[in-house]
Amino acid sequence: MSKKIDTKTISFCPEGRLRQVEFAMESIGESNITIGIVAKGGIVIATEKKETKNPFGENFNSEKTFIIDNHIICAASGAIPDSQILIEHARIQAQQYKKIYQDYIPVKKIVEIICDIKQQFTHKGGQRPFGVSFLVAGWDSSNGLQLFRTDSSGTFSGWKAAAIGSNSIINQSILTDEYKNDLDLNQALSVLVKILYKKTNSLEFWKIIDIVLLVLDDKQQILIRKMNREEVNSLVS
Amino acid sequence: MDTVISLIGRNFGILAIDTISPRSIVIMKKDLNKCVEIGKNKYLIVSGLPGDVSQFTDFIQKSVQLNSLKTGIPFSTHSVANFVRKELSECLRKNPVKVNLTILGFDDSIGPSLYFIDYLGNLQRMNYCVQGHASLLVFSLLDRHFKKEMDIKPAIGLLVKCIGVLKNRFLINQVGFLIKIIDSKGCRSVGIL
Repeated sequence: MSKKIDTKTISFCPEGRLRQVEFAMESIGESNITIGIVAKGGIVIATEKKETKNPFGENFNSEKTFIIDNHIICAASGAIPDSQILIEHARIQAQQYKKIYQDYIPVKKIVEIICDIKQQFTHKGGQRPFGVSFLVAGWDSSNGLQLFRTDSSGTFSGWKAAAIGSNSIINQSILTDEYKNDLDLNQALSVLVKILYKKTNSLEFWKIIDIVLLVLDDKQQILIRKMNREEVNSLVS
Repeated sequence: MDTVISLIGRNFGILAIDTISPRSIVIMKKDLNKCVEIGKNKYLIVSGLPGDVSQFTDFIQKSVQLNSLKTGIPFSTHSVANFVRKELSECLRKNPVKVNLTILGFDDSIGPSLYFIDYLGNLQRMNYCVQGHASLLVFSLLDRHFKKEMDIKPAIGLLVKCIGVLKNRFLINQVGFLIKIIDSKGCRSVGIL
């Protein structure tokens, strides 16, 4: 840690904005698309991924979607190495909460924890902000199914359907048109396909899209699963 | 030593706490309310060494308030009980606090629940519980007469029997017992027996 901290990176510019934070959001606007939709029986999150040959087969922890605890999932857009630090911290905090209260951490609290860290890097000088935006989806007993979206400045908001990453403004307006209050999971998946499929021209849809579902069954058990190759392909065939 | 008798009935929890504040051989105060409300629908009763009692009660009450403000969501009784247990067990090897606690709470999803935590950090969820020296006399009575899902009148009748045994056989004259109920409407006092 050098003694001469570069205070200019995190200072207000003359127009009253934080330039570094805005540049960070610009960089997120160039990165992979992530979309989340809250449906009646669960939440579905889809992210674009790079088309690579994975020699180890499809394991769950693909690069851009994460499980924070058994009732919270999360997808990132932007600099994925940045996101991994925040996810690590969030996972530890979720378990510490469980250790003290023997109960699942509320979704909003995890989002606040992530955002507090992001905010610190916009406050104290010398380090750049996190160039990553999250969609955090989860269920807790007080507020039911929730979807939150966070950005580089540390602000978060709750959404019923949200899009981050490239073309987020266009995708968000498509979601506004297509979203209805009583969507079930299959309808939500078809909305997702409507947005994502036209962006990607590959015949093999599963190679470039990760879809993760957080499903709530009648006994209020939460099941988190990633759609496998056949299911993803069946969405577009 | 304080006496706290608590029972779980049908969609309510009921407590009888003695109301005397003793010092050596003198009764200093006859109408002390030892019950502390945590949130809207939880009672916490702490008994033990007087200084530890007031310090620990204050600490727990304010910590729970702070934490529920931080999350924005009121805690369930289960969470509060485990939080208290964790604080107690951490104190155990640093600055031991000799207190026993009863936590009685009502959650909308679960109904009433009763937890007993002793000074070593043992936590148990129970249907009925007695705290203090009176437990030696009252537990056997409760074992025989307690039924699950009692209504309020039979529950109060059972408490009257327990208090009768204490007035008959307990060395310390615990003058009055404050009866409190927790149900979906919140906490309220019923009276003094």
